[in-house]
Amino acid sequence: MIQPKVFISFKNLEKSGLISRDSELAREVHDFLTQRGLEVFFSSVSLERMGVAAYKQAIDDALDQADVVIAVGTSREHLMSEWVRYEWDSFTNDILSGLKPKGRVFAYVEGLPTAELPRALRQTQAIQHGPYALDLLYRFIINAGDVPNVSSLDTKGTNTYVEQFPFCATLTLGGKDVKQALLDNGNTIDYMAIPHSEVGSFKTVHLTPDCEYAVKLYNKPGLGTQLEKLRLLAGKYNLTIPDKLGGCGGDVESAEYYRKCFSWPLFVVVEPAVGVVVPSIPKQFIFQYGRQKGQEKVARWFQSGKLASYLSGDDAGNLIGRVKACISLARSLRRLHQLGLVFGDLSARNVLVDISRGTTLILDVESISIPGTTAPESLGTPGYMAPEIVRTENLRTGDPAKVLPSLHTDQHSLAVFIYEILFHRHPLLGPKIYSSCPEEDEILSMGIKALFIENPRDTSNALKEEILPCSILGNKLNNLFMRAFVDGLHCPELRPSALEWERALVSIEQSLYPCFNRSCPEKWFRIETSNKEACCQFCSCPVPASLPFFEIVRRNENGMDRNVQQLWLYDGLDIYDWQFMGKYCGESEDQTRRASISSGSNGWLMHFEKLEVRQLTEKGLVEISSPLLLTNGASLYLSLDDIQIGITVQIP
Amino acid sequence: MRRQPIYLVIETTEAMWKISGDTVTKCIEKFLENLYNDPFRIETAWLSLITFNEEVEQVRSLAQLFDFDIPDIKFSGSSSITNALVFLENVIKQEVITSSMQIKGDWKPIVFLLISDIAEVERKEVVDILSHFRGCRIIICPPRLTRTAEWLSPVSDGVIQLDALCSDAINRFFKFVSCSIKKSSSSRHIQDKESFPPPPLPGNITLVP
Repeated sequence: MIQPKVFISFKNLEKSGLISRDSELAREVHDFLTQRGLEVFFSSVSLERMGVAAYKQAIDDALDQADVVIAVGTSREHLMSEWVRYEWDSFTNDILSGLKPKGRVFAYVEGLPTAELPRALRQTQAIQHGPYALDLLYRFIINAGDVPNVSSLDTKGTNTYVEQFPFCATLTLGGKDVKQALLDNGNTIDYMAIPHSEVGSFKTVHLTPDCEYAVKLYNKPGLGTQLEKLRLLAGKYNLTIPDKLGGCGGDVESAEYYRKCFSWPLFVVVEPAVGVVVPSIPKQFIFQYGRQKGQEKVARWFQSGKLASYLSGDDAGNLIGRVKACISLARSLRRLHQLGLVFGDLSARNVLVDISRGTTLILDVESISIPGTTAPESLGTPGYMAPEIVRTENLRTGDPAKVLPSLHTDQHSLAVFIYEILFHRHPLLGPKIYSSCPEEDEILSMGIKALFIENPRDTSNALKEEILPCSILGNKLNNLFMRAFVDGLHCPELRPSALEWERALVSIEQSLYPCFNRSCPEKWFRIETSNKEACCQFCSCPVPASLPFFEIVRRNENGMDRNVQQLWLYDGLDIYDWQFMGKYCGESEDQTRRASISSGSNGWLMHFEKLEVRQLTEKGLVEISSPLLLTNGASLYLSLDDIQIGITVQIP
Repeated sequence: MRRQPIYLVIETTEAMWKISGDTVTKCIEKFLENLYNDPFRIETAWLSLITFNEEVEQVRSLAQLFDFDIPDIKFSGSSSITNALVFLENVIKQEVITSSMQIKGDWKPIVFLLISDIAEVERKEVVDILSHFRGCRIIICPPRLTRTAEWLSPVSDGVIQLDALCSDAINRFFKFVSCSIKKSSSSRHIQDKESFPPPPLPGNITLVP
């Protein structure tokens, strides 16, 4: 993970020559952030260490390297003093001019109302010193990536302020009507008064003036009981915060991985209504082109061929993007389940998909239930609710027979999601009719009478049109679908776990190869080593009898690994450590590319960096340089983490 | 996949509107743009537009959202609500597929009636016709300051009043329509009871109990 570099700007000395309160605060900020592994430039400490007398050059160099500037102050006068102002102002200019597109400025103040901050700092996230304030600052800093930056802000308009800033008051800031929310840690956050969106009748979503965060407010009575759950989700059960920092995200890498998979609550709001603060939706999950420009990429777009056809160009995605998205979702759900959490409302509406990268973002994390703490808030979304929930949906709340979301119902929702996204059809929506009343028919076909459209033993709900069966993606996945929708459809405990889905999908991803037919609808097909009449499963384009591959064998201190692995080569293939080392690609694997393959008129080339590759020649083992022209039968050797790796190149 | 038929029935008399037909067309355009952004609705929602003054015309027959081209709307003449309702009843009979044990039909059609006040002499007839509409959800939207709302309430699934027939109110009306037809794909709250009209009422629209 690349940690942001932080520059702290503050006035060191009072007019009297004494150390200022600002300086003490700045040191607290410095100590807090460095303890958490951030690289922090703090002038009085860092300059002493650097031994620099001429101040300005050192400051300029540090500002050039910084990603984040924190202006620390106890008065407007101090923040406007010559050097302090120079630091945050010149950095703000760098952001606005596009030199530092991901740069962020924060104000960390004590006894200084937001209204009195210098104009440019009012546009930033201002944090009042107090209990948990440093924690808040830290979370703002680590979440400051991938999101729209301050340069998009409209800084024109009049600024009018009121003396007090009560939580119901609206004031105009940079031409926008802004309100303030009180967080449960005593801090406040500004948000735009006009909702960005309204969800149902009980939730409004507001953006902060810098558009970096969304403040979700619930307008529903009786949320007192949920408040404790929200606190737990933002704190102890926060899997985007590493264990050592009070969350449950495991190590720093794992927490960082899942931070990108969930729109996880950062803070709990207590006034003017109960709510949460979450990071804004990263740009890659928003359509950038076409009719849908500016809209979130909700998963539903990718679950129907017809809908995908409305999307422009790469937005529609292809098989490998959809498989990767399923891996990402299965992995996220597996992580939740490992922690004993139940999502309860997994559906195509609250998962966003970046199909080109194959990543997913789970929204509405605050509806997660923590067994033993609070009852679930939602029964799920039609189409994704497990049959046992649909069957008992109309029972009154509190009836012991009413089935509530659980690990098993999540497993059903996941299986439906994966089936829909891979095959563009719903697993239970077939031609069979159970009632002449559409509403009743829906309840029966999704509930007590639910029947898989590909059930091999009962074909009464099979689609009339010809379809590619789910077995097209191999036995592993087919077996899981049979367990989810045949054996486990009405026996929840037989359903496959998220981990099983994750592993089967990872193995599918590794067997995919680009189709030779440019107009293939899926662009990728699954290599079947046993398939004699090899052709793409989706467009029937013939596949050459043999494809280029690496035959990889490994030897570690315990001896030779007997598993000889085949790695299929294609133009544009990136190879990572875990592939050379034959490891399972989990979330913690290093995703730095080690080598890549290209194909040109000269033949197949392997490009590599920071990798020592030797080749067996007539002169013995010779170290070779990148790029390497691959020849049939060539023997390559490399070592990674004490594992000796031998590669035989097979180019037909 | 079952279709969700939606009938927009709009009165186009001069007396009713304080805005031009172009403005209403633009509001419909905006309403459709909003629906285009919702993949859940694009697949299921089918839309038809019927306008009436002395004449009743189905300006657009039931079509999928992406196939729905927006017509020009012109205001003229005086209203004939009874003709419009009889016409609507026939259109629904022809276009909507009724479910049976052999045919997977459509979802219950939703009818939005955007009408002005109804003359005293027509009331009984209107109530009679509306009470024959079986298997439809009817939402009636008369302008505020009429008593139409009160006596239409028992024969409809909901009456919402707009405060004034300005473009702002019409946009809010369409926002209400699009929220109504989004309902079926949203999360089921644990204490949900199916009710209609379901969505939040955007500012200045009142639900008549």
